[in-house]
Amino acid sequence: MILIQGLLEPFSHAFMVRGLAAAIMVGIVCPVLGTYVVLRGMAFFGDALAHIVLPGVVLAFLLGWPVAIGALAAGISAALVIGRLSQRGRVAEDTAIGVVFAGAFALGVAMLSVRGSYAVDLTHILFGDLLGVRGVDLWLIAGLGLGVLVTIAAFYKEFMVISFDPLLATTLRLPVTWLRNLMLVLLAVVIVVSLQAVGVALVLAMLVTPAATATLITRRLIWVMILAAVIGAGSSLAGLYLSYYLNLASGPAIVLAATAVFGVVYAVVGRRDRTSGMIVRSPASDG
Amino acid sequence: MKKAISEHEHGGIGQVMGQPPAHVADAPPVLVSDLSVRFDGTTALEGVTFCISEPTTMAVVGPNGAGKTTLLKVIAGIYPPSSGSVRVYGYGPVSHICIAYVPQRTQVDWRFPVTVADVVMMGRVKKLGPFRWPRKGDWAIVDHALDRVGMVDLRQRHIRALSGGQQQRVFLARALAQEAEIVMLDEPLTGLDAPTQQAILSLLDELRADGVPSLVATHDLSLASEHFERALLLNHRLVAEGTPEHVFTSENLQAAYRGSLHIVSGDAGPLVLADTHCEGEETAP
Repeated sequence: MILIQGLLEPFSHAFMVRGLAAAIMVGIVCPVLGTYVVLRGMAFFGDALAHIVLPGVVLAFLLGWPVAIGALAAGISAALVIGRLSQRGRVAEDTAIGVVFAGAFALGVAMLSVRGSYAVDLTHILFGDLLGVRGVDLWLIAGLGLGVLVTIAAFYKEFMVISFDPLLATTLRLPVTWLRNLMLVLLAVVIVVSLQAVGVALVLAMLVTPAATATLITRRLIWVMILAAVIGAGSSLAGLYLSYYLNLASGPAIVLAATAVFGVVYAVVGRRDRTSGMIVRSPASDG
Repeated sequence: MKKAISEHEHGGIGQVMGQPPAHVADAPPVLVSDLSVRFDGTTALEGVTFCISEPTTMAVVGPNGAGKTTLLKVIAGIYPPSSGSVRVYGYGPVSHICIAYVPQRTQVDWRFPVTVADVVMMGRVKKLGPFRWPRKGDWAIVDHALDRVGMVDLRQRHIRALSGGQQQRVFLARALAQEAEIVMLDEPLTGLDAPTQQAILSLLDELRADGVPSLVATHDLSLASEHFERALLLNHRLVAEGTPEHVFTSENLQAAYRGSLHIVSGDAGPLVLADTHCEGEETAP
């Protein structure tokens, strides 16, 4: 009884219920798209994009507009510009991203620094403000998140082909550039959806960590996505309890929970592979 | 789908999104005319002209960096020609969805979370169309393709847990599921033992018997001369093309390989010693 009471107690507060709903939705949507981020090796791109939305967020914040609108506009335009830059640039792709990423982030912080409440505002933007989620924020997260999931379901196999074998995508005459840009736009949307839950600095963890954990366990893309979503949602719940009882900041607590799951799975899978004597054949060897 | 050929040349979005055009009657499977391909100033292919007039198996041979992969990719419509033209059954490659390209095994991410059946299903993605998930009938086509390459029992296996020869056969099954009317394979025989190579070659012979020509990049001169109906010798320019006896003369081989080839006269005719993994500056005897 005490245990159940302990589990239920945090959610006697309305702000905790809203926080939990937001965290779980983010914990589902981020890892599903994050599976493609992991498989396509886009982790650096995702992190950069999360930081690049900062000036948009700050501008909307200063003008009193909904923050999500500024973030969406900044994120989507940055995603498409960088996607273009990296295809035919005079500098290497990661260099181009690095330059834009750091510059945009500095611009956002500089803009924010003109305000008196600089430190608090920056903390909320960087690490999330889950307990400040309002009802209208919940509807926004739900709507955008559902849109992302439906889009991924609609283009699941096309995204799989451009991720696994871009040459096949070309010979099948799939609209490769269009699909790649669509994926970048989805990434920008997911980052915006996650801002309030985990913040700019920690979005990457929700994109990458649950999906990376799932790839260690299962061997089919659809199961990686489902498992990653379960791990993400579970981490959100566990993180909120940690946050409530240990008085930790909620965003970092969620990320720490996800990281702990990764660590445990990594260790267990490593031990299983060693003890079962399972030899993973390299493709070069033949039999 | 009656359209002038010129309209298909650059494959506008209408053709790209739509179904493949009907073939031009009596058009050869492959017609390459004065093809040149340049990347950032370096010339990969120059003035290549040849025709595959009927289903056949063709080995594409040449030293490293001779443009073998580039030639296959241009015919598959992955790279555009810098000049000249490529016709596949009478149309530009980008208006076809029936050209299968099997990449080198080293180019594939074998850790990607897909099973054997998933990889083969990818060949059907265009035919399925957007928004649709594969159904029972689609999986039956996948199983049929896997059955033809003798891999149906391994359909649920992860691709990393396959041998090199099995991996190659999965990609051939994908070409079958794609209903490929021509197949390009980049170094499919490299690193395989002799029986496995033989199994792949037999599959290519079966494809040819079904009317599907294949072009195979290889650096193995003996396989190319013994197991293929035709050979194409390349070193940026086309050195020779035709039957292996016609192509693999010491004169042609010297022209293609220059210093990196030795020809020794033995009891059973000329013996060719090639080192195509080495770009050394040895001088010919």
